[in-house]
Amino acid sequence: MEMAGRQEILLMDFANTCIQILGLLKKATEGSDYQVPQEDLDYLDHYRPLRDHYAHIYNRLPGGSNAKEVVTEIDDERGFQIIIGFEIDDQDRVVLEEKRIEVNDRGAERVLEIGKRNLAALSPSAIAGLHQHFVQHPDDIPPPSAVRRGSLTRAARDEERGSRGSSVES
Amino acid sequence: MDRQRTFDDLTSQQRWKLQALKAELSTQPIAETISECIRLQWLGREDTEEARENFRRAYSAGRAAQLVLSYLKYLEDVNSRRKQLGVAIHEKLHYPYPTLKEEIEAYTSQLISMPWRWPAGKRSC
Repeated sequence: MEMAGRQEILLMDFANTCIQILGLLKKATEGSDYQVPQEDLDYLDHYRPLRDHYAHIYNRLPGGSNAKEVVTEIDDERGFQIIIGFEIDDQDRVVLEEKRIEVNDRGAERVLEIGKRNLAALSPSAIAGLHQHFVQHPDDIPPPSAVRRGSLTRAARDEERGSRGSSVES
Repeated sequence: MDRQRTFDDLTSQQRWKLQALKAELSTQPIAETISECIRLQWLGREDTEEARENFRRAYSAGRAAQLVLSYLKYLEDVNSRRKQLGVAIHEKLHYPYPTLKEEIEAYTSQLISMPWRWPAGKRSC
């Protein structure tokens, strides 16, 4: 039972990680004109029912408002029985209310491919945006030395400690 | 309507400067390239609410890209743990342990002294 519970936590972690990647990829594109292909967004979003399921697991227990998703009550000649759990199909997918969710190797590989491919496309797109801007404003082109290294993450200075875990400069 | 300027309209010095800037940016990690590309467009301009909004957008996009990388690594880790635990559950179901009375004491003492490590079960060879 303890191992099965841990397995469920890992399924939640898997689904939640995919939903976080979805939200963060969309946010990362706000820095350029690049658009994440809709097919990729849809694939990442297919993990949402499982993420939502575990995020509100207390409502999915017997008697809960969403119990019907995974709770089956059987009342027959053997008496009243409650069965909790979802099906895993022959392709190792979690079946949740008719939705088939790829919490498996194939799903992990696809999410990794989506993430890496889209991240790789962001950088050229951001540089293309900068190129367009400075072609229109050539007198403002800064020297290469204006590019800051490590600007997103650096150790907090003494006077900043306690206010932020990590900090950035504007 | 004014014609949009193109790269060919720039002076050779401006072209060199822009290419050098882009070359420098392309050596940066992805997340920092994204944020720097926006920040540099607002460098030296008046400190307005619009400029600040763009600085926020720059760092938000860069930080988001940085976190995507972290979450991708984490997904690999979660999937690996999921598989390991699946194998452990499979073994437990097929090779239950303890099954003999004398095995129970060894099993419980191991579980109590090292609760974070599941005691090894019997395996078929």
